[in-house]
Amino acid sequence: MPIRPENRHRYPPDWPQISLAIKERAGWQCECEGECGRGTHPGRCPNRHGAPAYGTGSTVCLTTAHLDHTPEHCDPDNLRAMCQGCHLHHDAGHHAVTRAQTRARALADAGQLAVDVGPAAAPVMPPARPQAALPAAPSAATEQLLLDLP
Amino acid sequence: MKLTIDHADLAAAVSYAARSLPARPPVPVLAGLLLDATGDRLRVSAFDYEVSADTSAPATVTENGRALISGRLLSDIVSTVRGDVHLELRGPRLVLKAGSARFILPTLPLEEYPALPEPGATAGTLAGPAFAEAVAQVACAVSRDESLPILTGVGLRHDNEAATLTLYATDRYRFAVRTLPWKDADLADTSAVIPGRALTDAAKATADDTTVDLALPTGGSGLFTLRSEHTTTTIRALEGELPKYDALFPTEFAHTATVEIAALKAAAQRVALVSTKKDAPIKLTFTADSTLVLEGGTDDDAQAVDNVDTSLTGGELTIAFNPAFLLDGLNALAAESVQFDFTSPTKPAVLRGHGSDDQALRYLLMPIRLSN
Repeated sequence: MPIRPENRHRYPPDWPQISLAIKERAGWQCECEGECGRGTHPGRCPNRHGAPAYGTGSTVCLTTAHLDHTPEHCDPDNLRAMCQGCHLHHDAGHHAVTRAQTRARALADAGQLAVDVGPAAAPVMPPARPQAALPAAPSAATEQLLLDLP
Repeated sequence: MKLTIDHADLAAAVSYAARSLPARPPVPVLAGLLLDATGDRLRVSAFDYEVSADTSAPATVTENGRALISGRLLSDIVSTVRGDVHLELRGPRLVLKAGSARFILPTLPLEEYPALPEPGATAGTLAGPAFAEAVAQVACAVSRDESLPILTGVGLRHDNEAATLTLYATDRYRFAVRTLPWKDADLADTSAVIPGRALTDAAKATADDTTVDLALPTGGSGLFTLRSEHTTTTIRALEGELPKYDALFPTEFAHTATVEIAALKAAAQRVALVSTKKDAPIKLTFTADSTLVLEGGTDDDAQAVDNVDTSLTGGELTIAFNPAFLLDGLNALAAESVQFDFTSPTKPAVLRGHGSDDQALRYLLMPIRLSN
């Protein structure tokens, strides 16, 4: 995953080496065992770096995810090599919180005053949601015939 | 299961229940609609552990039985067929015939489908249209930010002494409160927060019913129930409480202005056009000569100005609002004219229908602080 410029300082200077070591530990296969919460792969995710992703066919680019969403916490137990699909889904709740904070900050910067709602204004990470069914692979029993254009 | 049902009755029942089908079911059976043919009715239900919808329609049942069918597919099919619809369960398949069309649908495993929750005992009764209107009025202030879960709900507060049900919602930038008198409500004061979207859908679905019965979450149940003659919806309440609105609404005001809503809405929409940023303010200046001047835009970009008639007490005032928040409030007020009550340009303003009583919608709107 690309690192936001404002968060770059939170990563250790040797992050590229740490990230590479995790991917090598994983044998260049997504290490997600369901932590992503999308519920589309029983057991370990089958996606391998550089190969087509299951369901979508897009090329897998392995990334390194922090299980606790804390870039400073680079203990190997907290890191998982993940394909883009699993990583984005794993971080979805965290992204929702960041999005909400960015929006609230933009409103406040524009001078928008807010009602004091107390603890109700503290963001909570939304629970992971299962992903809608991935598109099925085309069936061998049917074939779309093409017009033979010269 | 074998029955014949009119397509309009089936379509109405399926569309009522299909509202509650989850877009992304955590387990496949929750994408199903449960069909239950008993006696002279076909019951159609859906449940996703948060919301359940249950309805029934008259049918000529020749064989009682139950089947679980993919809800989206059934919903799509029944919206296209006409005349009498024949449903028959043959082994693991449901055959649907209507006119010359014939569908064979796979069934989902009934034994994996969860039991529908038991609806709570009725707390009070309201007119369907009045409840739907009140929910729609406060729903404009419900937050859509799922990282602030409690603010995505509508608060319901029962006041036993006053025999009223108060609905309220806030997203931090506005706070909408509406009170309804209700009959037969005989329970201790209580309050609950119900997911806003599910409540809006459920209230809309019963907007044409003469009366609706409501059950508020009590004790450990945590379930809100909305029931009409042939429909029941249960919604799991959110955990937590919305802030108390009494303390947030100012009670003393320095300025009061009345403006015709249609003219103000049109003018606000016009001047908001020049704002390049979504949350840019429009400035409202209430002048002593009974004119409300609306200004949008900035010095170094496009600017717009318009004005509408107003009647003002309390001296001139300039205040700025997010136009979207202002328009939401104006749209929600069921009145010809809006009454603005102001304390100062940096304190909450209160909007209400001119001449309305204390139970009508009150819309607290937080201003935007102007830098100059």
